[in-house]
Amino acid sequence: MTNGSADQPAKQMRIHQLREAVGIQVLLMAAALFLTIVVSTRLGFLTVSFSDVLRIITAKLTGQASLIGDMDALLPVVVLEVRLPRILCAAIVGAGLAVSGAVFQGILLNPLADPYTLGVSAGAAFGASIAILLNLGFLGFYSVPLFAFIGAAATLFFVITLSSSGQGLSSNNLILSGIIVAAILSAGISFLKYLADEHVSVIIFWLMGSFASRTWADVSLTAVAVGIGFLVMMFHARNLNLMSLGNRTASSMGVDTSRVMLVLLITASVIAALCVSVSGIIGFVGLLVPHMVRLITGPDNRKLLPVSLLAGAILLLGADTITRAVLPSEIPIGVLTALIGGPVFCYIFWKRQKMLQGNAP
Amino acid sequence: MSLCLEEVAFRYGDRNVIDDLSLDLQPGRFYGILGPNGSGKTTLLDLLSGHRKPSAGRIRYRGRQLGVYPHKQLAKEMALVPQNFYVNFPYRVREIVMMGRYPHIPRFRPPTAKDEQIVADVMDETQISEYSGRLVTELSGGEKQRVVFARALAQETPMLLLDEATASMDIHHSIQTLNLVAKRVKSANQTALAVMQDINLAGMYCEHLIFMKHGRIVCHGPTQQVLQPDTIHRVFNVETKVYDEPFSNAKQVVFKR
Repeated sequence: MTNGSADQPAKQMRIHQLREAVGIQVLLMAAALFLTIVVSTRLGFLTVSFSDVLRIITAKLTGQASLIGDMDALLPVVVLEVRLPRILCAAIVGAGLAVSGAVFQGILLNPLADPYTLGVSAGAAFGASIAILLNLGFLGFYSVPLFAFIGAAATLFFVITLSSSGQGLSSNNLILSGIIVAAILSAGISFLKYLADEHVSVIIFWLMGSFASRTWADVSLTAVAVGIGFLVMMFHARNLNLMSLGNRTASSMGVDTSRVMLVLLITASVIAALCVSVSGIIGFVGLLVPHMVRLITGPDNRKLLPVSLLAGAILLLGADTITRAVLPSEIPIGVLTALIGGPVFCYIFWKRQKMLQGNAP
Repeated sequence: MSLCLEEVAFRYGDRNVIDDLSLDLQPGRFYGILGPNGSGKTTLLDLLSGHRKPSAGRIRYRGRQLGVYPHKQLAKEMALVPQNFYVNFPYRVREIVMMGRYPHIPRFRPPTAKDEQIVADVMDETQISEYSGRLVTELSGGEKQRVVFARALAQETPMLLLDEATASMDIHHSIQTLNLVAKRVKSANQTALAVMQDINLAGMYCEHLIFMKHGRIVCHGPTQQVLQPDTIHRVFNVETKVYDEPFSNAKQVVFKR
């Protein structure tokens, strides 16, 4: 107390700097994301120069057709109709999976939680497998994503109903229900694969995830869902901070814990379900990105969520660009994220164990 | 301000955790709740903090039903120091104490200079300023409990609910913590309601004691009157001698082995 007044300006200064640092982090990440988008648009079977990429995008955004008048007519088509939808889709799905994972880890108070903890991926896979097996084509191109989403949503509803019997939702009940339902669905998927005969490769390929031939419709659908979901999450970010002190404490500090938990569970799961429907099952982004970001920003969700959003977008877009343009032949994105993400997770885990050991008395 | 319970009951499954409990708490007093494990003490605090709703009966706060207060407003009236002080993520100590100010800060507004000042003062009072920048997950149990206690003080509420809030602290910090609570009860007219296991600390600090068993109140009243061997025997089933100790200026209890 005695040195309180002397320290005060310095303290205020430091806090101010800290807050600014978060703003700068977000700004830098946003710039990095933009750069990644431009660079990956340039890369591919047909190399488009930076200036052409920027000119095509500017021409599209401002409607000045004269900007691309002297260009090969193929280039704008490749950039606008093939590459950009895929690139934006990968970035948005990465962003969605990352914030969804961060929220799941926050609500369930479990570092192993990810967007698929409640069985969303198994439900989506089951729905997609049925659509592929029965060769349901009445909705054309959209029947597989639609069935995947219905499967995911039905699973989510069932898991929440199963775990909310009795005294409210508890994280252990949710995790256990998710595991049980996912196990049943996995067996169902195996059975469908067994029945599928010559279609089995289509199912397997869908399950491994891909951003190939995404359209602007996919982009706008995921953008709207992830955008609205992110706003809901940011609205509850502070409540999520309080919930890490336990439900009893959070409740005494003005948080309607069961309502916030339900709203966030549904928001995060719907984002995950839409992402899976559009891209297939992509693992590790939702588990890994929040862990990595937490090392930089700390656990405060008001910083963790925006930085995770951008980091997830950059990472998944990077991975998709590697498989699309760098590797000699395209490998499924879900396989790539697991192959890169798994070892990175091991490394972070190992480092953290070492750090904790070093701090132990 | 007063908190008033009328024939309150709480059932968990088909078990009556709280049964026909009536109680009237006056402002500016330090109340202690004593009772064996599983006697419904924590559930009683849950009912008062609004975390659980009574199955029957009424709870009134400042003359109005407790249920009509929005969660957010109640958080400005009562602060809870829970038994469980586990924090799941590696927050800095300072961030945890600042969380106590959340109910007073609009959702998207940064803390004001006044909030910063309150947090700094509370951390000085509870002697955790030196840990300010450390990760709460690296602290010992007793240290964590002091951080969680500081967070509740930062909430600046007229009422303080303590659930074995000093259970993991060493005796120096237990006394220091209870001194802080007693000081706030005296000078700021705060009301404290503390579930305690240490009968002697309860006897030293609480002006009123409430003895509970099987979800009911066995007896309650001024400490001088109710802290008696027969009450303790009825509630805890242990043999004791109770005497006035001039050194602590309070009733003290010694136990027969």
